[in-house]
Amino acid sequence: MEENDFLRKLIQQSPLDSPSDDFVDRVMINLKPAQEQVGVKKSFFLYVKAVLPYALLTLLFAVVYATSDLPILNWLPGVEYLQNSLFPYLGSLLAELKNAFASKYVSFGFLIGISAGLLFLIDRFFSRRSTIQ
Amino acid sequence: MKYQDDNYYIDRVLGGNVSAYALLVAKHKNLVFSIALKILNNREDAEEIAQDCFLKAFQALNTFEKKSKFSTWLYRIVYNAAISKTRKKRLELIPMDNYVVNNYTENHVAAEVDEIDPEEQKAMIERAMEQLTDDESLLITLFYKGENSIEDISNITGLSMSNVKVRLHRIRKKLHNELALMMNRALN
Repeated sequence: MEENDFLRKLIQQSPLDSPSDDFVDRVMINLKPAQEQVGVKKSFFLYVKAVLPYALLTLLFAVVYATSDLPILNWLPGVEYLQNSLFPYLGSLLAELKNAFASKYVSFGFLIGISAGLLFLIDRFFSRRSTIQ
Repeated sequence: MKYQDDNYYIDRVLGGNVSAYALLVAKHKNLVFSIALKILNNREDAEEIAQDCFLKAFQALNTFEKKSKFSTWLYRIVYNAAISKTRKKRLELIPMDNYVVNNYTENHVAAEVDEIDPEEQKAMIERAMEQLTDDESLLITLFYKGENSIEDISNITGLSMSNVKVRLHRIRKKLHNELALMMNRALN
C-alpha cells in the first residue's frame, strides 16, 4: 500500500476543479422555488396523514354512539334521534343519488371523474418515486 | 467553525433550516463540479449540471435514507445526470486479463519523485494526469481526491467492485509509467 499512499499524497497536491465563486449563492437562490415545489408535494400527503387518525376516531365514535346504550351517553341526542331523523334523511339522500345515477350521462360523468382522479393519484405517486434515478 | 457530519446538516434542512444546505453545497461543490466536468468536458455545462443536481438532491432529501453516505448519493445523481446529458456510454466493464501489468519499479519511482520539490511534484502529477482518459481521470478523482471507497465508486458508477479495483490498478500503473518517463527525461 506504500506506493498507493505515495500516489494519494501526490494526487491530493493537485487541486480539484472548482465552479464559479458565486456557485453556492446561485444554488441557494434557486432553492426557494424548489422549496415551494417540495411544499406542495408534501402538503397533500401530510394532509392525508394528519386527517386519517381523526377520521377513524370520528367513525369509531359514531359507531359507539349509534350502538351503545350506556347512560354516559344520555346527555347526547340519543339513538332515537338517529333512527327517527338522521337515518331517514340519509336514506332519502341516497335514494335521490340513486335516481341521479339512473341517468347514463351522470354515470358517465361520474366514471370519468373517478378515472381522472385515479390517474392523477397514480401520476403523483410515480412522479414522487422517480425523483432520483 | 468545525464542519459537522453531513447527516447533521441534512437533519437541520429537513427540520426547516434551509440555509444549512449551503454548508453541504459548499463542502461538495468542487467534487460534484469535477465529476460533471470530467464527463462533459465543458465548464458551463458542468456548472449547470452541478447546480441542477444540488437542487434535485434538495428536493429529494426527504427520500435519502442514510443507508449510504450523502456524498455517494449525491455523486451518483451528478454522474447519472452528466451521463444522460452527453448520451455517453457508461464506464464499461473490463475483464481482469484485459491488460498487461508492467513491472515498473514503483518504489523506485516514488523515491525519486519524493526527492524533487513539492511544486515540481505537483506539476509532474498534473502532467501525468493529463495523459489519462476522461473515465480514468474520473475514477482517480473519486478515489484519491474524493476519498471514496471502492464500494462507493461501485455505487456511483454502477461498475462492479472488482472492475473498479482493476481499473484503479491499471490507472496507477499508467501514472507510475508516466512519472517514470518524466523522471528519465529530466535526468537525461
